Amino acid sequence: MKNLKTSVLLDIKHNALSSLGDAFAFYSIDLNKELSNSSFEIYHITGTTPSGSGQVDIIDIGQGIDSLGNYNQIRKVQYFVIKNKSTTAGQTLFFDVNYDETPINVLFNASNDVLKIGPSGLVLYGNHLQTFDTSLTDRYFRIYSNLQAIPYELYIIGIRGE
Amino acid sequence: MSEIKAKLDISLAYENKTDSIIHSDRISEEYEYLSQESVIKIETTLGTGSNYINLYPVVYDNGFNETLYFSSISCFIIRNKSTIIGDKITIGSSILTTDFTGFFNNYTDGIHIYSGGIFVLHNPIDLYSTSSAGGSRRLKISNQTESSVPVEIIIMGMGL
Repeated sequence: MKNLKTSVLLDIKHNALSSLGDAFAFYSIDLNKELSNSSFEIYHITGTTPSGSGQVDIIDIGQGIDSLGNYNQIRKVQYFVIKNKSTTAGQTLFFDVNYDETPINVLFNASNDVLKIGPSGLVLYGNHLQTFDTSLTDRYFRIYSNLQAIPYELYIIGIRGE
Repeated sequence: MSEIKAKLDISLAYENKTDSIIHSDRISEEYEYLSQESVIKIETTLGTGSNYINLYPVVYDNGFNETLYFSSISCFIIRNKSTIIGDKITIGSSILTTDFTGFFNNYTDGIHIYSGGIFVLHNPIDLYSTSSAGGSRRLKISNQTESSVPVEIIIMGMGL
């Protein structure tokens, strides 16, 4: 990735705040400037959660294959986005890192913590100054649902290992 | 609180070294809020230990110090604005039923945001519920450093 730009644009306007200016919030993040000497990778997959009891999708971010079929080894995670593509109320996506008792423990407060993402919802998590490292054991995201097949999309932006 | 217009727009653009094609992915859909929805921004500094952001009610600075009651939340945006490496805050992780835990599976769950980091959670269909008494009516943010940490918090939801 010789050029990579990632933008997070939040454009929020509220008429009651007009005295403070219309630009309520705006963020634009350019990873080229922040980590100009690094080798970026975007790991992008689309999937559907398994609907069987107790079944999960285990996403290997340290040894993954990207959307173009390239082999990835993301050593440092800068950003990730998980999107629940269902539009049906009640179809909640669950996300955690608890796999094989070696979670990426810099992310959550405890190894069994779980984030919920509702239908048409998304979570974006980013670190500017501090990335978190993957290792041979700490490299798994888990995505699952409650016995429902829910389509989802995952982007991981990180620094590739040599 | 009428004529509210807000949108969340997250996109990626990158050039792949193997095909030299500019890839552009629009991740979030443009989302126009309903007239009943409200959006506030809070800029504050968190002291060491537990800090709480009230949701029901919240007094916010729009020039009039108005009070708003969020009955449900559709979006949280939380930025750790510290530039000091090592400054870490934690969203959630509570054993109190008065604390908002709608986006976690358990009361004790929490997620860390490191210096310079951003956390966006958008939930436009199944809004997270808050309540006035005995329920989730404040957001807990812990500052696990020995110094104060500046943060920016944007909350969107159904306000009363």
